[in-house]
Amino acid sequence: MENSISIPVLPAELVTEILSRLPVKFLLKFKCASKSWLALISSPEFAKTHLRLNANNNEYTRRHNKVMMFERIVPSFRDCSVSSLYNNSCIEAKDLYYHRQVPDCAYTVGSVNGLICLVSPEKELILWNPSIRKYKKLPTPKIKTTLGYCLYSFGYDEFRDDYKVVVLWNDNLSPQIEVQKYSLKRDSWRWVDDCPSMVPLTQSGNFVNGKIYWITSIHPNTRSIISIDLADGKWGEMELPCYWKGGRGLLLSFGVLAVLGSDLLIWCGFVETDMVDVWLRKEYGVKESWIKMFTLNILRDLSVYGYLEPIHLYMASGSEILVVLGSKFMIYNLKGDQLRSSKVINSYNWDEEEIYIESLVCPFSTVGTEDATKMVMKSLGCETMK
Amino acid sequence: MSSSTKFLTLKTNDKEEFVLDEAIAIRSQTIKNMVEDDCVSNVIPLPNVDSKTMIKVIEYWKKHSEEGISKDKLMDFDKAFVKVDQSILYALILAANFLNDAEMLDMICQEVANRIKGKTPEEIRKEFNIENDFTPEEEEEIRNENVWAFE
Repeated sequence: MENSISIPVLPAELVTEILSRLPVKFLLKFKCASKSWLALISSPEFAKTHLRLNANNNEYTRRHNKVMMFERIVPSFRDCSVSSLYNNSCIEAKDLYYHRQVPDCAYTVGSVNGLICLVSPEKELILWNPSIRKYKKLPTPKIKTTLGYCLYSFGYDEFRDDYKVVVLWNDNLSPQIEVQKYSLKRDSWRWVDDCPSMVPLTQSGNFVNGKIYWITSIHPNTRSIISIDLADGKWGEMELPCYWKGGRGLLLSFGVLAVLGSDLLIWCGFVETDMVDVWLRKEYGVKESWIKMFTLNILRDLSVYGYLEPIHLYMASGSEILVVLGSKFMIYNLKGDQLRSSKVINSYNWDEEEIYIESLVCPFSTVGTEDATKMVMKSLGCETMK
Repeated sequence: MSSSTKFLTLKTNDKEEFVLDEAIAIRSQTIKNMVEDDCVSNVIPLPNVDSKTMIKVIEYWKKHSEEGISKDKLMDFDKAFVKVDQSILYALILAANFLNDAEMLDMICQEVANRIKGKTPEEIRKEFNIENDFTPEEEEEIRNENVWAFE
């Protein structure tokens, strides 16, 4: 560069400011610029700064959000950016050849801060960050039964900066629901007592704002939502909205819990009116209440199927929502009108999707890296990053 | 305190003086703190900013303080504003940091980040004046760890 002499050297904190605005892939490339850059980019503090900058709103069209599509019949993993889905009617997803890292046919448990938690049909749990291509096999919980059901949930304890997996199971014989919780920092499972639910659960939990929520029952007399706070381990209970009322006709599906941005929601479909009502749990000061936020005229788009497939909703922009219906992506506005759909040309029959944010968060431990970088840094005499 | 327009005089390190509406100047958190702490005499010295850079900063502040300006117009302005030489951009980063204007710092850092995206580690070292303190073997090892990022 001809004018490099006149360029001032930026202090370290400003270099951090600039680098934290770069996508993950470029940061991995720039690790070999110098020892100090390697130390900076590998540090958990930098991973957090980077994440905070890129995740500071709930809108999924930000460029750092990606959607991963899982196919099980011919096992494959493909991903594309959410913004490309949002802006184009036809897109090609990227094949992730390196997916051999993680087991085929794995089911997604959830995604937080760029880490995706997966569970294989053999009940093997994996924590995977596809952006840095690092994964960790978690120890298996001591589930004492092969009967009944087993529900996994994944979340983040901000207070302890720890990632946690909660597993609930029941053998269909006793009313007692057994619970174990895994902590990535301790790398071990612990028993959790006093699950408040006395009825079998049917849906996996949803993580939002530090808590995992489960819907306990579809029966109106016993209906409720239970939650566990990942920071203090306390159980909580709350009521469901009266979603079946309001003259909408016959319920096609019972209420299903989901998350939209940082809000908990429940949705349900009605046969006669082709409507899907979406209720959001909003906090007003100390009082929490359910509000019917919008109604999607969604079922007519699905008439070929004749039944309602799982719906996933993501806030795309301030007034638009990305709706995933089975293997279809659609954009709706908050009035409930379908605006457009988006087709993935090389993946049209995927079984599950998971939205994740590109991050540098390492799945090994939140206290430092354990890969070759650490060894190299040690051999270089670099200070071990906390 | 009077509500009429107050003016501040800012003095850059090359002894240039800029007279500016206080309401605009306090976009700088640094200046705002000085005003609030009542430690503003006649002239505010800005020892870390030269006049050439200050002219750009004031241009930015004035545009962003215009009443009723549309978001689109501001975006167009910002786009044109960062289309400058690397050396000016770096001087602006240092100025925005010293003046503590988070919005401006964010915009310029993002511009620098956009410019370096496609660069090789060699080009990055040149750009940031950093010395390659790895041995060739060490560099190779680090590179191999994320070889796919170079594809």
